[in-house]
Amino acid sequence: MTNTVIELHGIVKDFPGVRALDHVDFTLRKGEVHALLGENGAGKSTLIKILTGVHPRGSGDIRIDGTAVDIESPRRARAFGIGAIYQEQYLCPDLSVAENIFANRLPRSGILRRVSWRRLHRMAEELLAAWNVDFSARDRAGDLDVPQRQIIEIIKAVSESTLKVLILDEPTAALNDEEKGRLFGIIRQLRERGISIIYISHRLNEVFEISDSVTVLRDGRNVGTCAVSDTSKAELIKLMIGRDLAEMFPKRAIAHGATILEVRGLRRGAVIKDVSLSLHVGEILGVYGLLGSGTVEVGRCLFGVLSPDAGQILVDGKPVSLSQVPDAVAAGIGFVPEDRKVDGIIDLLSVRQNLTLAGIGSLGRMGFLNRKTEEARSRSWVERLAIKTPSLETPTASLSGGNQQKVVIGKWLDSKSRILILNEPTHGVDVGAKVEIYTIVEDICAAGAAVLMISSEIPELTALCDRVLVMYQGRVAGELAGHDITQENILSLAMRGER
Amino acid sequence: MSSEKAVAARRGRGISFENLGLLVILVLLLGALWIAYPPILARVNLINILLTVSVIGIIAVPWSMLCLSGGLDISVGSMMGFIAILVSMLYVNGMNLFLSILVGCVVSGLLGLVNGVLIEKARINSIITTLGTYSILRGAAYALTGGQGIVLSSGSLKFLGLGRIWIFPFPVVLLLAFFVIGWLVLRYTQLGRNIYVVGGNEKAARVVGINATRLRIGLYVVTAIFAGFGGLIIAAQLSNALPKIGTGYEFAVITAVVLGGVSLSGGKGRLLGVLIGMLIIGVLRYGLEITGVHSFYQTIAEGAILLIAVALDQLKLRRSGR
Ligand SMILES: Nc1ncnc2c1ncn2[C@@H]1O[C@H](COP(=O)(O)OP(=O)(O)OP(=O)(O)O)[C@@H](O)[C@H]1O
Ligand SMILES: [Mg+2]
Repeated sequence: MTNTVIELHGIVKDFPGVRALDHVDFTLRKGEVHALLGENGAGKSTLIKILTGVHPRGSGDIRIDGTAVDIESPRRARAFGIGAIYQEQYLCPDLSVAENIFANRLPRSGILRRVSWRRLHRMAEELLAAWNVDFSARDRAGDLDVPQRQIIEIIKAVSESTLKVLILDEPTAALNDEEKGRLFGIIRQLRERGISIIYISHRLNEVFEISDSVTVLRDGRNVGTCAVSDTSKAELIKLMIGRDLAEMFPKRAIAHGATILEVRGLRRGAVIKDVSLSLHVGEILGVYGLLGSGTVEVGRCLFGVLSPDAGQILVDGKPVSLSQVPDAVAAGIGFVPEDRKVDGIIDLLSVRQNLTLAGIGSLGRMGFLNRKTEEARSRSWVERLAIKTPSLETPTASLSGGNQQKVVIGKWLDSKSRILILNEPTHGVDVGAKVEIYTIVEDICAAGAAVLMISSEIPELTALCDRVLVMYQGRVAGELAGHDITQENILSLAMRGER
Repeated sequence: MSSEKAVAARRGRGISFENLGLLVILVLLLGALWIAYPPILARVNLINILLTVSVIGIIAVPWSMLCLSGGLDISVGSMMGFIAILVSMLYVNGMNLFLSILVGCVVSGLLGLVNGVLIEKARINSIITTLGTYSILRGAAYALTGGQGIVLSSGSLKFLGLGRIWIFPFPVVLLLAFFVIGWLVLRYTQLGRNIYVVGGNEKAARVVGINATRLRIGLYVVTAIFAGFGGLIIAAQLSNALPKIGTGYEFAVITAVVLGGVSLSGGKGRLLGVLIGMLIIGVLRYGLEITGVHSFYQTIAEGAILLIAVALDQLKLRRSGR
């Protein structure tokens, strides 16, 4: 008993139309890394939000160090030494990095207890230096990109001195291998200091790499807890989805057609220095690059969200000007953004309305919408992508993170775009649904579309892509095809700019 | 699956929970009034209730859409006064009725465009911008006539306010027609969907190719035209175009819209709720008036209703845990 930190017993949590947690028992021991697995919507985030006081529990007991407690607010959770990094980011975009990190404990000085900005910035710079990051404590949080913001969240949680339990909900979904390595280093250090960690991820490799024990949730129930050394990937997958799943995704041979998209000499500011690429009908072209290498910006330029300083873009061999998004949509281009919260989903609208957002033009005539068609079409995406939702009319915000991502993908799959630019398409999506998404992506390629896949998940690139472009400091460092698409080749190009 | 469909049906069409609550308030108010004054349920009184709020309602339709898309316009009351004066001046000085109304629509549309461009292109806060036009237009209305009213002694302009179609006063017919059109637009057209999308998440709207700026500027224009037209109706009803016409209307419109459950930050709400919100104001106003309560208290009651509506909205948000 002495070495358990948190003990949950019979936790139940209901949301309108769903039981998110159904009598869950869970034990966290001191100094262990405990992985929490499960399909999208299994209840992982809900469980941790109960531990951090975001949601009140329905019923059940929570014991911390053996005493029954109530965690009625996030403030209370912090007092118990529970810190968390959530799946959604909660930074204040208009505050500086330093202010975000120390938001609840700004250093004070003098009789007036005024905020000491100098000390604040020094403290923040010290922390940032340890992480060797490329932004400063004075930067506005809103100007940073997803992985950078993720790092701030991590620094913020880890820098609390009273920390006893750290919860990480899909922390690596936005990180590349290098940043992930650094995170794992920190996790190991914390473990040595006796801090317990709950680690949620959809990447099983990571679970085996970093954790000591694992708990699998399915439909809100704990279907198994064991030591990582006693289990295997196949067994965990089976526990998660209730059936076996081939771990290797078989790549289908799809004949390539004419060049559908060509980019010549794309340039933008200091980020994109010189990018040329071509994409053929039926082809899946992967793009990989470390943070700041310009991959995200290339995707945004091709969709008219950013305008390039120079360069030519040709669709079907004809030069097009993509100075704004409607131009790109008219040219048949679709775009899954890298951060679903920012420009992916519309929280208040229903699953149905979000799913048909991009393909809405084909839903009726003369500006009128056909509700029957809309319902049928969105229902079919809910079924194909296994989107877990109480109904088509549920506001999308109340779906689990992975299911929201499926909605964003479904929206563009529904649009019948001929060129799809996918940014981190499977961000937070579970193993089963990933395979389904890959299959659909291949289907639409076989039907005459082409896909540009910008991803930081190398297994996804190796499994799915015909070619992979690796970017390094705003340029294409190299192109890999066929058997050359390997993790080592991709990484060495991305880190050194050469093979 | 069948219960799932039932949930879908409840949320998607018909009356939602929030609206049910409003409906209960409306019925309770009517009930209370009926105890105090039994003839209230007579046809003529019910129609009069509608008439009381017809202009509020007519403006509330485009105003709700603007609000849903994330915009705000508090200059509508002054727009009413200014356009009423302008058109009446043209009309009594011999301009053809339709032509003068047309000029009124064009002028109000252009003023709406000014609002829209300042807010959307120059990125000035919507409250500040329309607070400015609110003040300018009211001043202009007084300046045009030196503070005097323009008597509309005869003529067809008066039909706008006093005419009848079958048993219904013309403004009530317009009110009902605009609500139906607005409801159809919001529910069954791409434009309507775009309004929700833009108000819900402007960046996401951009990424599916919707031009939020243009959409909202268009809504500022339409709102201004409707407001100007509303001012004319009032002038016609009074047979007198007074520069003070429309004073306080921005407040009444906001109350109806917020009461109806439309979120002031955009993206959420339905026209059916606004209709009920408007009726609540109508019953309150007409009821207090017919039972002889002084208009001071009407103003107090309306303010209280607005606060209650907003508080209820917050409570609902709190409850849904967001
Ligand atoms: N605020 C909420 N309101 C209503 N339902 C919710 C809310 N949050 C979660 N749910 C529902 O509870 C269930 C569990 O969601 P949860 O977010 O815990 O899943 P998860 O295991 O974290 O999934 P993912 O891997 O996709 O992040 C889902 O069916 C979801 O729709
Ligand atoms: Mg989650």
